[in-house]
Amino acid sequence: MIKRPKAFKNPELLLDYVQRVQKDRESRKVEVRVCTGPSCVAGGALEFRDELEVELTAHSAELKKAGLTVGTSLIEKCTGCHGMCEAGPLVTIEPMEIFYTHVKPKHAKQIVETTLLGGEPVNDLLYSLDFTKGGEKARHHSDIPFYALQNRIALKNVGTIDPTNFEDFLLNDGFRGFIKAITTMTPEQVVEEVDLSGLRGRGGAGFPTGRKWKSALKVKKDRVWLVCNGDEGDPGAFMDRVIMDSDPYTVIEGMLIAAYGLGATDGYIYVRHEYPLAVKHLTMAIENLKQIGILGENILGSGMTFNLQLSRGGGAFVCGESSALMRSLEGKVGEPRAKYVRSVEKGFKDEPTVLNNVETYACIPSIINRGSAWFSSMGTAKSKGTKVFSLVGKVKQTGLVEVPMGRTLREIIYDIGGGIIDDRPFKAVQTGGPSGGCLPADMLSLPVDFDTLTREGAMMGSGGMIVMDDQTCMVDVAKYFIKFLSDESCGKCVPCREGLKQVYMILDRITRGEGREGDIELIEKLCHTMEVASLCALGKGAPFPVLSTLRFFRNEYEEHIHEKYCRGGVCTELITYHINESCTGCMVCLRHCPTEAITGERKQLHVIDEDKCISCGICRSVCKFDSVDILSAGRKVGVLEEVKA
Amino acid sequence: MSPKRTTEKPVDNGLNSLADLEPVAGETGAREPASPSLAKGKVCDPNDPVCLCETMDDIFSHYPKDEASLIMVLQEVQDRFNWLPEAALDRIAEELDLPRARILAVATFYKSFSLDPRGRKVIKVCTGTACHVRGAGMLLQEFERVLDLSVGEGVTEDGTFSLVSVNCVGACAMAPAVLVNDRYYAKVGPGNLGKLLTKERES
Repeated sequence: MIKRPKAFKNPELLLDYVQRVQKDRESRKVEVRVCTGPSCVAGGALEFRDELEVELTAHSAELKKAGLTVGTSLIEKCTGCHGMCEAGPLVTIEPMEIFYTHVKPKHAKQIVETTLLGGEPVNDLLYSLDFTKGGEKARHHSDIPFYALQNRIALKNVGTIDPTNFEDFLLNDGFRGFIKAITTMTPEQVVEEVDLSGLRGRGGAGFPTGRKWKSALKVKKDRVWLVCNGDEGDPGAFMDRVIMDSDPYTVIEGMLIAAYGLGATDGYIYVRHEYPLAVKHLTMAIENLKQIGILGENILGSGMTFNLQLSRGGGAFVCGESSALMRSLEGKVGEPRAKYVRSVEKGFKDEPTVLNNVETYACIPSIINRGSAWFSSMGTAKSKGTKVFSLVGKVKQTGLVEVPMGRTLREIIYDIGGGIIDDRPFKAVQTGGPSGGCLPADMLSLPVDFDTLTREGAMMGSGGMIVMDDQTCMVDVAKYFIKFLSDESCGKCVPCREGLKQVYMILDRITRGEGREGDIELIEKLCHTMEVASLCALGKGAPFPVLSTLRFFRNEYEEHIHEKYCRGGVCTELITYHINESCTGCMVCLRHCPTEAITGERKQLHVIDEDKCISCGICRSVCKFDSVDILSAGRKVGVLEEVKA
Repeated sequence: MSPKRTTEKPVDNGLNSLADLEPVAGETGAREPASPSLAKGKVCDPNDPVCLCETMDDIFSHYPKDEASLIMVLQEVQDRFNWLPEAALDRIAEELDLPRARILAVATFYKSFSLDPRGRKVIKVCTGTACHVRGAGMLLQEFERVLDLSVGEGVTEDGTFSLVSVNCVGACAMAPAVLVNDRYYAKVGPGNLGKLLTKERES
């Protein structure tokens, strides 16, 4: 083990240390990386790791004979999230690039004996390219479309390093960007480089980062605050969480470069309290950097001072809005303010403040290290670089994907995501969180960047992509978002507070089958008022989920109002459940029914009593034989053969 | 390279579908919390003035006594007591020299605070979009029914559970997701909900 200096008094010391660590690690022949993201741990990754250690110890003599000493030439380590959460727990074995999915503790022995000793992959654990058990297997992770089609910049270390291991970070170009900035560039050059890269804010609005920084440079000030917005509130988006809990040092490096460029001496990272692991890893990283002289005063002997603190959010969606976030940092109620004075002039504590998103900061080190030309060579004319998307919902391969801007929705959903679960028909993709919109199938060839999706009434936003199949009701989706926003509205301005309430009431009665003539027009009118008269982006963006579903799925609204028909089979008051002849009488649904509405004997056809049934759908979700049908307005819904035809 | 182990050996329950229900320790590996705010001691009884006073003294020793500390202090109180007892709010008003109304404004604005006692374990059912399209609504109803609780209100009779819904826990790929305190559970449905509760009740 190389001893880490107590403090790095200059950049050379740090670079020298990196070299020594690198040399020391040359003896590492094999690394077994166990993903310990929340999803994999939920599947038993920690139990697997324990079992693996037992097996490694048990086989240590044989391994040694094969030239592998546990602890030096053979290392087992826990990494952050790989992004392919659906297939977890995930284990990779480097440098062989072997990628195992759905790993259970019982597989530890097999992995040690077959792969580490025998040099062969365990076939059953390899990724199946066609999602079936007997299908063709991918031996390396580069053979898997989910990874092969990605281009990871913000996620560069995610899933490969141990987020709590500083040396792991250093060996992956850690602090190279920062050292390059403070040793070879002036602060103005740093800002110029970021501007040239064309990087736009990854939090959703897409404001050019370089322009924001340049305007901050022009403001006369005694002190500049630097804030990292880690209050990732958009439901369906979790890239910031993964970056923070799997690669905390990169976020801090991005902030350090920004602090150098902008002359900021104090900063905050504001993290949602719903992200305990991100809070923990960032806190550890900050404490470590303080101790070794990379945060605080005279950083790496450069004379630069930057104090960084972490602040936990209180669980309010609106605090993702920059001015509300700053109020929250001040210990106040998180209400946004009108932005006639920008926060680069008056932000936190009424002092100049520069705020950027987690993913934006995570891109900065690579931009400085590899140059703006490299970054701007990727992407589209007005949206440069790559973007991380969280591909979730009814898609086969859910997870985080990072691709250059300009890839089409189809490439992301079908080529990378593998298409829709059970090969059902695609209905819509919801992008951009609660201020975004739903796009139908004929929009799948749209390139994804900041401007194209906005033009079509949705937006790229922070990168959430929720894929919906034919079993989704678009009126219900609109109602869901309006309910969400109505709960989260801070209540400061009337159009947002009252408008959302009214739209919700109308949508609710439509989904209950009590929709009236003129309801759709009334919704449109209310939406228009909210859009023009609300104070902040929450209220201004609130109408989009409704307006976009009205634009592309107006027929569903009309069917709900006029025919009391819900084609998605979702709106409980418009549907009834029936058990068909394929019922085997296994009694599972009967046991799970909360209202005892199901009767039947073992091996006899079961029957649902409509008077007792509350249409909760539990019977359908637990039935293994697809024996529970949904009827709406006398029609069977969600029948695969019919919708496919 | 030898982090401490805290996980128990997995119990083979013979039910594969429930293997997904192994709880997450809310951390990678098992490492010590670095911040005092994360080191939760045992829950203290707010009706015991001595205990309350000691806890509050300890909390205030970590934060500067000005308005900007308010949210962090409230979070600390919430962490230690599981809710915001009135006596604690009085003490905060006194220490930070703020009117009670200001404190209540903040305490009622943010979702993570509760002015009523909560159970030893708070079940947070994620109702984010990804969870919603995969049946979180139905799951929430089922939790309400099984626990005989309303979302956001009350505690189960044995004092163990409270039930809340949260907007997104950032575990969208494992929808529907449920957090019990800081533990994640993936793909929870009516079929494995009972197992989850049994496991949590025992631990």
